[in-house]
Amino acid sequence: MAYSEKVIEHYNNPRNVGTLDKSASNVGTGLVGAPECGDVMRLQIEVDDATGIIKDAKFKTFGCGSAIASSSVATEWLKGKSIDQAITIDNMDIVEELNLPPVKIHCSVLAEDAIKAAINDYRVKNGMPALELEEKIVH
Amino acid sequence: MYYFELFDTPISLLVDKSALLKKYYTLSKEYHPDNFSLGNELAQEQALNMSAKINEAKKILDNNYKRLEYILRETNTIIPDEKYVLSPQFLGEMMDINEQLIELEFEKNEADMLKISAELSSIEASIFTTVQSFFTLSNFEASTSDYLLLKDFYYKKKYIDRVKEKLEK
Repeated sequence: MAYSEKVIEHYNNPRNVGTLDKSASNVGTGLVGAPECGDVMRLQIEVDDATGIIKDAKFKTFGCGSAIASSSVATEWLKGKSIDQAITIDNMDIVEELNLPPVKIHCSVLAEDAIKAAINDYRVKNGMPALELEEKIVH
Repeated sequence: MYYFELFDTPISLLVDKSALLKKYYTLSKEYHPDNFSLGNELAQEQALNMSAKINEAKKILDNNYKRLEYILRETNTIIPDEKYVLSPQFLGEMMDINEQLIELEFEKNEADMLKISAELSSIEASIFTTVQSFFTLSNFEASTSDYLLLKDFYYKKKYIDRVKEKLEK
């Protein structure tokens, strides 16, 4: 299967690979997996306590090119957004950005799940209730 | 379940290689396309189809993990494209092992390789303990909660096998 140029570009030059201090109160960590393909993705956000803006985002993904590219794009988009804006990032935006073929849509869902998990981790750490997440159906 | 019926063996995760091979030869002989070369087209086609099924069944029944996958699929315990959430602890362990592996890629080092491989074996052993008993029964019986245990094991094992593949490279 041919990957789009954008996927290849992100795969070769992934943005924001790395780790943030997961014990810090202003860092939210999302750890998600796609058991069918054995992928595992960790996405972290660092929030500016005063403004509520995400000032840094990092990821580490072990999986296929599309999963890496999806999380790379996600971290780029997260930086500079508020938590409330970040929660609205939809997997279909990633699909569109990367031209993902239908069989790889689940990779973008994984990235969206990772964003939401990271935000919830941040919320819970800071005394806010976790957001109820809707189940995405992927086919 | 069709493949077990075809091989006339009870549904089970226990593989009896010699019995399986024996049955495989018997069936293969019985449905060998050569036996149908004088028959009509339909009979020939059916024989060919049967041969394909026999080969596929052999492949699955020969391996207890493939058997498990087959049983879980046939019982709709796992559904294609479903979203299954593994424990954060397990995902964390897999993340950790993958990170160690990446470091090894830059600098190959036998001692670290052995360490990772030992760590992986110990994780594998610990996930296996919850389902071990099912792999020793010649007659498989599982309750709904047993199926869920087996499903969890199936997905975790998939991660482990993938790391193993990387280690061997």
